[in-house]
Amino acid sequence: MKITRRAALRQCLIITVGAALIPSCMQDKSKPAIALKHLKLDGDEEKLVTEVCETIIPATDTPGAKDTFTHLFVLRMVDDMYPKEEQDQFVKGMKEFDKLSEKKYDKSFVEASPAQREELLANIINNDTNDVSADVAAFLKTMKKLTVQGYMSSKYYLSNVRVYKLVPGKFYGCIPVTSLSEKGPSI
Amino acid sequence: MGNNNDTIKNRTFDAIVIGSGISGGWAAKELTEKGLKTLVLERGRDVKHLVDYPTTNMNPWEFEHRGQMPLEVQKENPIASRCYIFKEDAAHFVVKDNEHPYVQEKPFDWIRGYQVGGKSLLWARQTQRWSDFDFEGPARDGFAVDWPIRYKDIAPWYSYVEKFAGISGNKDGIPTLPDGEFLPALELSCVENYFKETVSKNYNDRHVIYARCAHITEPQPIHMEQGRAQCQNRSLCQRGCPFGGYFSSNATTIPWAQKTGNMTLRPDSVVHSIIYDESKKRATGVRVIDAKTKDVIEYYAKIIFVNAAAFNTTLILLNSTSNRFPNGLGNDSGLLGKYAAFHNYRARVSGEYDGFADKTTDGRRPTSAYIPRFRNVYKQETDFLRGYASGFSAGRSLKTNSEGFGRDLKKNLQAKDWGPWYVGSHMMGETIPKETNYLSLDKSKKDEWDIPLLNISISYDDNDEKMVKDYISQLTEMFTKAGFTNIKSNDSKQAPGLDIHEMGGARMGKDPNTSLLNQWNQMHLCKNVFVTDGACMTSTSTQNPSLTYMALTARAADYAVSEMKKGQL
Ligand SMILES: Cc1cc2nc3c(=O)[nH]c(=O)nc-3n(C[C@H](O)[C@H](O)[C@H](O)COP(=O)(O)OP(=O)(O)OC[C@H]3O[C@@H](n4cnc5c(N)ncnc54)[C@H](O)[C@@H]3O)c2cc1C
Repeated sequence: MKITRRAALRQCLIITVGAALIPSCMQDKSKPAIALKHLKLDGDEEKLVTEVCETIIPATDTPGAKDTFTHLFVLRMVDDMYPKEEQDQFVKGMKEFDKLSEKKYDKSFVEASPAQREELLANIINNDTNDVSADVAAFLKTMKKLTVQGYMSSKYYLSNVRVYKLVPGKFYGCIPVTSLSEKGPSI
Repeated sequence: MGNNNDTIKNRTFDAIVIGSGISGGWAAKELTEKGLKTLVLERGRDVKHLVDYPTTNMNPWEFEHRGQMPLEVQKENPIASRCYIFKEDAAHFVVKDNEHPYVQEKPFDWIRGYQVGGKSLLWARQTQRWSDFDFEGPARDGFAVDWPIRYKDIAPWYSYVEKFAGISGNKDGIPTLPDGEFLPALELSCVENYFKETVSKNYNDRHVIYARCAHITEPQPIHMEQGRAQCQNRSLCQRGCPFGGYFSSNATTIPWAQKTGNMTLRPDSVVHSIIYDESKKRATGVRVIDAKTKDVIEYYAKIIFVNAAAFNTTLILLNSTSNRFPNGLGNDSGLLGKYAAFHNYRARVSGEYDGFADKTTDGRRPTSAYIPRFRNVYKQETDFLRGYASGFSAGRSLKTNSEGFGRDLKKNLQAKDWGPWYVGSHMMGETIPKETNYLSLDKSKKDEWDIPLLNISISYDDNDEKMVKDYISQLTEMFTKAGFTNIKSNDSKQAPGLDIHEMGGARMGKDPNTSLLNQWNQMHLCKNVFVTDGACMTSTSTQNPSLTYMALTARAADYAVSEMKKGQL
């Protein structure tokens, strides 16, 4: 799916509703792209979150986390849905996680190659998490949960994978599974 | 004071209706259609059909938090947050806790909608008729007082409101749940139909039916005349419907009343009390506080319909004090506020079903199946009084597999593997109105409009506890017999209130010593005041009450106008 700049901006505006400043979602600076109320992240940290999202759901021949603005959703949710202690732990875990990358690759997570990023996450998520702190584990758990939620409720996903219809029309109570199109049931 | 700004004549009408929700909307429609110049006073803001539904066409991804309410808002509104309707798409139609406080002598989650249309925008649109098993309940089982009406008195009015509102249903021929004027039913799912069959095979007296609901499944001329179209099964009703596919005051009764040219709708008008004139022995009007300016304004009329929703109606009546009625309008008996009741929604039973693996549903459906009350119907058979109805639904969706990360995770999230059928049911128990469950005014605490806060003192009793247990055991048995697996039950222990079927406070009855209203919803002791919302209910039945409020309202309006014409009012 191709995301036009206009669509991107629209999404960006929706996500930053209420923000006092014009969002800078489309810019690539070390300034935060999204106005947050509680979390204090600088542009680099925001990028880190973005790239963790993208590593969890990468762009392939279909859109990934960034294409679907899932990273902005993740930030918005951590900012608005989590109590202060959990937000603090998230930030702590995030910083510590970046250090793991420095330690292993001599590079921050953002600077690391996609393969390295994947490797680092794989080691932590797939292997025993005993060797990472509770904070890192909590950070990644939250990242994964929200990235999945954001991706599955994105416009891309609900238009192409599981099709959401604003106006579904007739309800079918009992039809053969095989009678559905390749897209599956409308939800 | 606004009183100086206009003359008394401009503030005088034939009728005043307090509240514009489900019952007030009907009062407005009936009275204006019969030619009465009618003032509708609504404490909340105006919500115009189609115009004031800001979220109605939003897609899921357009909500900032994909539906959830921010933590801060949840913390500020613990009561509203306990109701499933308090989500990003409809929260603007739900009263916020701190804006309209009340006193909970005992925990009660009071869910309200203060705007033109009231809770009619938000309701779940379930519309089951009551029967004589309900109206004869108190007399047979010896609680509350005898209803002054029977099913035959209200049956034609059920038909009358059903035709206009548009009710979808099947003629099921079940004595406890009389049939009505139905538009076609939507489909039940495979497993709902299967459960229906197994239940009727296993039990003589238990039925699983399609739940009747206020949706236009096949528009009739009367609906088109209202500007309403066929329900499109969006199941986004709580946002306000662009098709007018379900019944709300906003889409239905209010615009209809408006069209007569006889209605004056005044939003932002908080009714403080009803004015009683001792020499005339009648109510002459109402005292209103302008919600924004706080000006006090009096309006006058020959008859007054009180439709502020059960507990607010009781509050207004309690606050309507005079020399003659120091304890509230028409309250010589001291019963005003007492015998308040609700529906017991505490328990659920759920499970899975492995059958019909090659079948599914497609699309959304704004209603479900329904199991009418089967307990203690023809005779007392358990150690608790009365019984419960149950909602029931069975549906199926694709599994969500969120294992792994990266490409694997993505593949998992894009997979289309079917999960099992999930079945679920929730109880709707009748509760017994008692003197000890009551509403009163806390005169030491006042709201922004200088009105005493309502104190709610309502709790479950032993009968309710036993009923929860019975519901869980009976539904578990019915599920087990149907071969459902992984059966789980849950008693949420939620406080009363989330049923949003609060009733009573100014009950109907035959005797002025033991009730507030007569068989026409008319105050025994103040004949030109009619109460036709939930406050009037003598007992609660198990069925969702709003259809009955509609029918009682239309019936009372008909009576009131004919009495007026005879010069009796
Ligand atoms: C989520 C939800 C689901 C529900 N599902 C169902 C269902 O499936 N079936 C069913 O039968 N019922 C259901 N209900 C309950 C149903 O909504 C109510 O029974 C119905 O709306 C009551 O009608 P009413 O006219 O008494 O009150 P309302 O519709 O609440 O209207 C009362 C109006 O009076 C106004 N008012 C209050 N005080 C004053 C005052 N002092 N001065 C002026 N105006 C005032 C209010 O602002 C409001 O607009 C549900 C409710 C909710 C919230």
